[in-house]
Amino acid sequence: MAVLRAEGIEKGFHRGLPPRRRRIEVLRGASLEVGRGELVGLVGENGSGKSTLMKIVVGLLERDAGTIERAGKLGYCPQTPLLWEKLTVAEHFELFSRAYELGPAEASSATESLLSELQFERYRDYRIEDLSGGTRQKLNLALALMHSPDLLLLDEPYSGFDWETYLRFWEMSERRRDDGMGILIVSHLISERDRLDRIYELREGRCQET
Amino acid sequence: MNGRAWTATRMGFREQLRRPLLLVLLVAVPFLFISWSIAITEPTPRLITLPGGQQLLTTMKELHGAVMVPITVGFLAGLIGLFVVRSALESDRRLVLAGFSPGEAIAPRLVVLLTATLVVLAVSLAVMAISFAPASWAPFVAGNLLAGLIYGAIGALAGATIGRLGGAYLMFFLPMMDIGVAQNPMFFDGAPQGWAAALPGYGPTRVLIDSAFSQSFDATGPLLVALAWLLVLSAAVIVLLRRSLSGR
Amino acid sequence: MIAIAISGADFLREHLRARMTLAMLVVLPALFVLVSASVLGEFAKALGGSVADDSASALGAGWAAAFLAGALGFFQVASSREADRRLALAGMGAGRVAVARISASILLGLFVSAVAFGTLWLVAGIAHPAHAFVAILIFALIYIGIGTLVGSFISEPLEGSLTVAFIFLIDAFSGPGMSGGGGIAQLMPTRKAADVLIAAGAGQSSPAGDWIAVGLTTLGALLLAAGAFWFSARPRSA
Repeated sequence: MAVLRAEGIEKGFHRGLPPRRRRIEVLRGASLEVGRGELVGLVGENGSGKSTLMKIVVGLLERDAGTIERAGKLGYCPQTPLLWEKLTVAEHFELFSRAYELGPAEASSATESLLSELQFERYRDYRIEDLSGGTRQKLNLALALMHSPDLLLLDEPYSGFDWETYLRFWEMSERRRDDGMGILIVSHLISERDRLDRIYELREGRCQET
Repeated sequence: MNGRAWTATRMGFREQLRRPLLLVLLVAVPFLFISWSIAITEPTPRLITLPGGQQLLTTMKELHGAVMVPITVGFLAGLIGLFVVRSALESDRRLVLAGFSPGEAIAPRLVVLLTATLVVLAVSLAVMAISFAPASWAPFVAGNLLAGLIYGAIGALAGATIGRLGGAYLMFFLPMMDIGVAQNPMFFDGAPQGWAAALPGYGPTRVLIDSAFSQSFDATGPLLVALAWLLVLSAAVIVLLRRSLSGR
Repeated sequence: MIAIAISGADFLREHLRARMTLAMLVVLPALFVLVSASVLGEFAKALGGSVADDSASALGAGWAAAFLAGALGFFQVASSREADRRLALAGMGAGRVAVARISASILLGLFVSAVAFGTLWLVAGIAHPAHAFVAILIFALIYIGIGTLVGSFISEPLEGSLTVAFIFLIDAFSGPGMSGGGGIAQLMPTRKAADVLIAAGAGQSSPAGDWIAVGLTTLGALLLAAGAFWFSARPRSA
């Protein structure tokens, strides 16, 4: 059963001023599917449109054509952590627990468990401006997982991770996949291909399953 | 206010309160700028025309005292609106994706902007009051508040549409040229020229000039103009921010 | 080094590629020069000074260039801090990074001055164009220095813009012709540049002493700015 089905997605951008204004077609009918309990990779060269497709699926960008069907709760971990510099890690968890409508007990349990799983408990009361890039990314990922989504969208989620955290990230992902979460991950490390159940390659604006 | 909006509002205030330099500047800039401007102005006689047509003889020093408040409040509120909204749009879309409605994400930011405007207004009025007391306080405060809210809204619109550099230019030059020059009875023949009525600072400035120098209130027309500007700009801000946060 | 100077041009391109920013950069100085031409004389009188209409327009162009340059200088530093540090560590060294950044800043100053000067020429005409352009450029370079210095200590855009604006306002209000000229006015960074610009507006030359003072102030501002860039890019503990 699919938690995400995207079909025929088209997206172009205008560049330049008239009379040299031109349209760049990034996606030309891209289609992909993610089932429950699947870990699916989206790969492609730099500039192939992976992040564009991800943003369209999430709802950050409007598509020019095509359909998207999503089932259940969505969790999104953007490539750049979009965080509030002056707020602490704990305050971010509080804000997102409100967004996800988690009750106090549920929010507290999710917060403690993610802080422990990603091993950044000691940064709980640190402001984002005082955190390293890797720790920010841990928070970025944790915020996407707080509400146990049915579909998790990860746009290069491990930049800045040390080796141990990187391995832990894959353990976490595989565990959640086994529990039934559908996960779509933008990746361009060849060594990760064996960890993925299926891989889509985005080339010339279209997805091909490899 | 519902739980989500209330949490976001608390966090919005915490963010700003953790910027000590900003807090210092919000007090120091109005204090130094207004007190120093009044101190260096000569008490040269000046004939001005109030709304309603009455002519009044006052001094450049008193006029400068009255007009420095809306200039200061306008440009500070404008810059705050610009940068608060810019940084909010970069991060708050994630909250919307996570479940906040656009309104629940926008309202806290506007509350922060309103509060900052009120702080600047209070400091500016307090500094002005050392050297100058308006004839009628309530409409004087209202006029200045309107100037702050109108320019805060313009700043918010600029934050949602223009880059930070262009926005900083706009929110500095526009209040200076509008309230500081076009509406300023220190210049021209003591009243704004015809074209100045088309600018956002017209209504608030006429209201506060009237109440600065006259016990009776004769600026109903300009007050309505100011309220109309505020209504239209506020609606534009809300519409634009909702669209930006809902996805593009 | 050339690459970094060109990166200043890249920075300019990056910010000015936003059409609205470019529009502001052209429209606002034009309006400011137009508006200030009509009222600066009266304003100066109110503050105990005096300035003729021709000089008022020229002064307006100088101030427009100053604020534009100050904000540009601030945002340049605020956006390049991390990159400069990396470049210095990669082998260029903090000193060379600083020199290259100053070259980029001068490029920016030239651009901003050209806009303000062009506006002045078109809107009001100018009796002594060569002197006026140099004086406007000096306003811009001094404020590039001020903006850079602010940017090396303050990274937040609101606080930085406010600080630049505040310094600018105090400077402008206490400039020659605007105030009685005593006290704090003597210490203001654009004091001598304003004297030269007022003279150029009136079609007069300025004495050599004024030019030397202006040159020294500009050099000082650029050295301060270079120091600020070096401070930002320098290696931390060994």
